[in-house]
Amino acid sequence: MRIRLFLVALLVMVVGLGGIAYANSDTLVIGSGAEAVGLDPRLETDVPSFERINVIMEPLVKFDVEMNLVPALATDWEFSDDALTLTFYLREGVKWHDGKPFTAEDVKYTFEWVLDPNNAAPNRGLYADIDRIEVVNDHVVSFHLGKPYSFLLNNIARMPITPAHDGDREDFRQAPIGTGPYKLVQWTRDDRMVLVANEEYWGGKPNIPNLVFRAIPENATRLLAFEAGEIDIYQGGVVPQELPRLEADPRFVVQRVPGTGYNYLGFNTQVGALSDVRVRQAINYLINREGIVTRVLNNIGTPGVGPVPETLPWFNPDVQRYEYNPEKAKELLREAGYGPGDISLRLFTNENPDRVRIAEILQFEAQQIGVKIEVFVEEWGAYLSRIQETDDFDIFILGWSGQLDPDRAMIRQFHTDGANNYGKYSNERLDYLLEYGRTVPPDSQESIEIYREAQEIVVREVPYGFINYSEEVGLHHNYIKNWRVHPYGAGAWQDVHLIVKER
Amino acid sequence: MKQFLRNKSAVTGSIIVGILIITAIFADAIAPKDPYQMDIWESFRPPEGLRGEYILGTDDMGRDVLSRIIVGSRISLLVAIVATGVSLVFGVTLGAIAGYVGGITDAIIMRIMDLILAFPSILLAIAIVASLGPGVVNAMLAIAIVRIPAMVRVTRSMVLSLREEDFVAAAQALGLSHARILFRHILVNCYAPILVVATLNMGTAITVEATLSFLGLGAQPPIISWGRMLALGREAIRTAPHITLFPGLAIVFTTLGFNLLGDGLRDISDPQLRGR
Amino acid sequence: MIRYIVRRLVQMIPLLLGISILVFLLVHLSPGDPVRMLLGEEATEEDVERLNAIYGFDLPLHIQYFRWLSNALRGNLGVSIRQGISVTTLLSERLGATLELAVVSVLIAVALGIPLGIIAAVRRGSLVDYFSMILALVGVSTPGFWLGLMLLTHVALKVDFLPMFGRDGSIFGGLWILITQLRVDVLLEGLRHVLLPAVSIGTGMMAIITRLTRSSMLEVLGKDYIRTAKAKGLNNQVVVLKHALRNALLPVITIIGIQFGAMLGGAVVTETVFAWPGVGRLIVNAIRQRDFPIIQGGVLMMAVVFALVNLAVDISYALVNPRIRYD
Repeated sequence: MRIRLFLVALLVMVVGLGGIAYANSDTLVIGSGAEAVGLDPRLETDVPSFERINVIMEPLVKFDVEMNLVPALATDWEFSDDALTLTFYLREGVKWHDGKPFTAEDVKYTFEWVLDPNNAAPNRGLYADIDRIEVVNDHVVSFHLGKPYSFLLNNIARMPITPAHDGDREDFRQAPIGTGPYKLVQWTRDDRMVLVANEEYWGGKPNIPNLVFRAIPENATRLLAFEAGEIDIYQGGVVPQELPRLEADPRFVVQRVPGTGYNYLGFNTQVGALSDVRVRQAINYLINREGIVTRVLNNIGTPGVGPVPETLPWFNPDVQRYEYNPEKAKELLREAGYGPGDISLRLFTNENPDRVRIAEILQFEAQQIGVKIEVFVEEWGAYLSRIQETDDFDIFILGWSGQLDPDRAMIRQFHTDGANNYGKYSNERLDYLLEYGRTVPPDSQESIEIYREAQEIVVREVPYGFINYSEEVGLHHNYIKNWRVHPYGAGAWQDVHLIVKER
Repeated sequence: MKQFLRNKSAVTGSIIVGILIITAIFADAIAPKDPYQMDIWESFRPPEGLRGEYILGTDDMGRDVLSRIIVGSRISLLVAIVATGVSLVFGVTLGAIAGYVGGITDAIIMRIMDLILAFPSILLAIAIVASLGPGVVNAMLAIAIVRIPAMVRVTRSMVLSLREEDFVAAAQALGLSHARILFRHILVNCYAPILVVATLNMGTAITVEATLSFLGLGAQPPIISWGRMLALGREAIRTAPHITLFPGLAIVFTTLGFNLLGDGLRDISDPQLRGR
Repeated sequence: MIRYIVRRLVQMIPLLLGISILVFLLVHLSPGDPVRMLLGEEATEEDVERLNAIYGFDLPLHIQYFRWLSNALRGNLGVSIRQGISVTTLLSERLGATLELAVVSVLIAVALGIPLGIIAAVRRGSLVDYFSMILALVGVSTPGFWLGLMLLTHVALKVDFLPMFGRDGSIFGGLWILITQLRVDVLLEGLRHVLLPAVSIGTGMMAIITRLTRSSMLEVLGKDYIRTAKAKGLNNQVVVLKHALRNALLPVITIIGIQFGAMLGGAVVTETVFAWPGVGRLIVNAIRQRDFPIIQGGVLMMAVVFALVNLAVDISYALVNPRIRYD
C-alpha cells in the first residue's frame, strides 16, 4: 500500500544518505543573491549578471582589489596629447573559447554594437563621447573622442569584450563564449550555472576544474547553505547580525573592504518646505548615522559624508559633517519659519529591508520634533517610475554602487541636466565644476581641487542626505585560499582561476 | 445556544477570537511598552520572560516584540473583517442574483467567477496589489476579490435549492417583488452556510495578509502587521529567532481560532453532520 | 466520453480569452515601466523612448493586445523583455520543477492525510481522532512560507542529510533511472532536495485532506448499505476499506484537484525561501519587473494546467464511481 511504500522510501533515505558527498575539491560552488538576467555584457545592467560574465569574459582593463586599473586584454594604453585619442595595445596570443584568436576587430565590434542606436544597449550613454574606433593593426586599437572625457577608461573597464565572429549568434546572451578563465557548460536558470576551466587561459590554467554558481535569493537561506557546506564562498548580502558569530567561527573566513557605493535620502528640492535648504539641513541632522551603521547595519559600512567614496583620492574629508542633532534640527526649522506640526512629508522607498528600517528610524526621529513623515514602501517598478517620471514625492531612499570616479558620482545626480537628478537640484557653480572636471586629467591636482569644491557645495546644499557608505563582505570556508573580496561586487570573481580549494 | 455551548470547536474558537477582539480593542492598555518606541541600542534582545523588561525580547530596532504583537492584532482583525465583509456583500449579492434570476445572468456571473478561480489566489492577490500599489487598503481589496467566488458559489447553490420551495411560490403568488422575495425570504434562510464560509474566509484573509506583508505589499510602516514583523525579522533568524517565531505563532493561533469557530458553526448549522 | 472531453476543452477557450484580457489590463494599467526597470537607474530619457519604440510599447493598448493575441494563437508567447528569451522556453524549463514540487506535496498530503482521516473516522472520539483533528487544524492555519523558515532553522540545520536549498536533478528522471538501470541514487538526491519545500506546502493540504476524509468517511459509514454489510457479518476492515473508502474518496479527489492547481502558482514565497526554480517565482519576479510577456504567458499556462487538472479530476471521478455519467 501507499503508506507502507512511503515509509520504506523514508527509511531508505535516512539510512542510505548517512554520508552525503558535498561539493568536492574539484568544484568550487559560489553562492549568489540573484540569478543572472543574461550573459551579454552589452545588454546587462545588474551586478549578479556581471558577477558571472566577468568569469567568462574580460574587459580591456580592469580594477584590481585595491581599485587600481590594471591590464586585462590590453597590456598598455595611452591618451594622445589633445586627450582626444585613446589607444590600447592588446595582449597577444589570447584565444576565444572556440580557439579563434582575439584581435582588435573584436574590440571595435563590441563598442560599435553598443554605440549603434538600433541595438538595445542600455549603457550606451557611458560611451557616447566615442566618435570612431580605428583598428590600427591586429593588436592596436584607437578610440577617437568628440570631446575630452577624462574618465572614459573607467567606463571601458566595465565592458567585457565580445567576439566579433560569434557575438551576433541568436543565443549568445544565454550561451556566450569569451576569453576568460572558465567556459560556460550549462545554465539552468534560477538553479545553477556550470562552468569548466579554460585550460588555455592566458593568465594560467585555473586551479579548480569546475565552477558552479547557485542563485539563492533569501539572505538567510544562503547563509544556512553556506554553513552546511553546500556552497563554498559568496560575496554580498551577508546578514549583518550574523557577522560577529561568523567572524568568531574558525571554520569560516570573513573578509571586508570599503565598497564603492552609498545609501542616501534624496530630497525633492523644488516643492514645499524642502525647497528651503534649511529644512533639508534639518532633516539631515535627524539621520542617526552612528546608530544606523552600528545597529541596523551591524558595523557593515561607515557613516556617510558626501557623494565620493572615502577610498578615492578626490574624497573631501573637510566638508561639513551632520552629526545627529535634533536640537539643531529644531532650530533650523524655526529659522525657516516652521514650528512643530507645520511640516508633513511623504517618504518613499522600495522593499529593501535596510532602507525600510532607515525609513522607520527617520520617521520616528522626525516625530519627536514635530515633523510628520509618512512612509510608503513601494514595489521596485512603481518606485522607480515615481522618482524618475514624476515629482510626486518629498523624500526617497536609494543607493548608488560602482561610484568609481567623482564624475560618475556627481554629474548624473547633481548637474541641472543630469539624467538622475530626480530632486531637480540646480546650482550654477556646481554645473560648471562638473562639466569642467571631465576635461581635466584625472591624476592632476586640479582635478582633485575641482571635485573637492563640488563636494563642498553638495554637502552644504543637501540635495542628498548621505546615510552610509557601503562595505563589501565576502564569506568563505577556511579551506578556500587565494581569494580577496573585491570593492565592487561585479568584479568579485574576476581572478577566480587563482583560488585554491584545500580539501 | 445550547448547541453552541456543547460544541467544543465553537467554544474554543470563539474564546480565541474573543481574546483577539479584546486584545485589539484594548491593545494600547494591554501592551506593556510603547510598540513604536525604538531604541536601536537595545535591538535584538532575547526574550526575557515574564519578569524581564522585554517579555518576548526586542526586534531589529529595539522595539518590544510582545507589544508589537498585541498592537499588530488590530491589522489582522481589521483585514479579516473588512476583506471578508466586502467579499460577503459582493459575493452574496452576485450569488443570490445568479441563483434567483438564472439564465444568461447566471451564466455571465459564474463565468466571471471561473475567471477569478482560474488564477492561483495568492498570485492574483499579488498582481492586484502590484497594479493598485501596496498598502493595507489595497491588500484588503485584493483579498476580498480573491475570496468572492467561494461566497458566490455557496449563496448560489443555496438560493437554487430554496427557489423551488413552497414558500417562495407562495410569495410569488402574493405578488411580492423579486427583490423582496430574494432578500427577505430566501436569503434569511441560508445565512448559516454563508456564515460558515465567511468565518473560514477570515482565517484565510489573515494568512494572505501575512503573505502580502511578508512580500512588502501589505501594511506600510509605521503600521504594525505580523506579516511585516516576519519579513523584517527573517534575515536574523539564526541569532534572533524570536522575532520571527512569535508573530508566526500569533498568525497560527488566530487563524486557528477562526477555523475552529467556522468548524463549530458548520457542525451546528448542519444537523446531519453534528458531532462529526 | 470523448465528446465530453472535447466539449470541456472547447469551453476553455472563452475562459482563457477572458483571462488573457484581464491579465493584459491588470499589468498594462499598473504603474511601472518595464523599459525603465531594464535600463536601471542610470537611464536617459532618450534611451527609454528608443527602447519603448523597439518593444512597441508606444502603440495603443488594444493594438498591443491584438498583436500579442495573434502571436499567441500561433504558439508564440513572445520574448521576455528583460532576459530576451522566449517565454515558452522560460516556462517550460521551470514547469518540471513546479510539477515535481506539486506532485510530491500532494503525495505527502495524500499519504498522510487519507490514512489519518480514515483512522480518525473509524476510531471516532478516540485520542487518535483528537490528535489528528488538532494536527489538521493547526496545519491548515499555518502559513507555508513561515513553516518553511521554521523547518530550515530547526530541522534542516540539525539533520545532516536535508539540504538547505535548491533542486538537484529531476525526480521523474530519477524514477526512470531507477526503473531502467536499477540505480536509486539520482532519485534519492532529488527526493532529498524536494522534501522540505514539499512538506512546507503539503502540510496545509494534508490538513484539508484529513478533515475531508474524516467527515466524508463518517457520512458514508452512517449510510444504510454499510450498516447492512456490517450486519451481514462482513469483516469490519473489509467494509471500511472496500466499500466505504471508495465512496468517501469522491469529494477528496475534487479537493486534491483544486489544491493541486493552487499549488502550481501559490507556492511563490516558499519557492523563494528554498530557492526552488519554479514557475511561481518566475511570474512574481516578472510582476515586479513588469515583464509583460512572462506575466501574460505564465498566467495563461497556469490557467491551462489548472483547467486540465480539473478535467482529469472529473474523469477520475467517473473511474472511481461508474454511476456518474457525462452529460
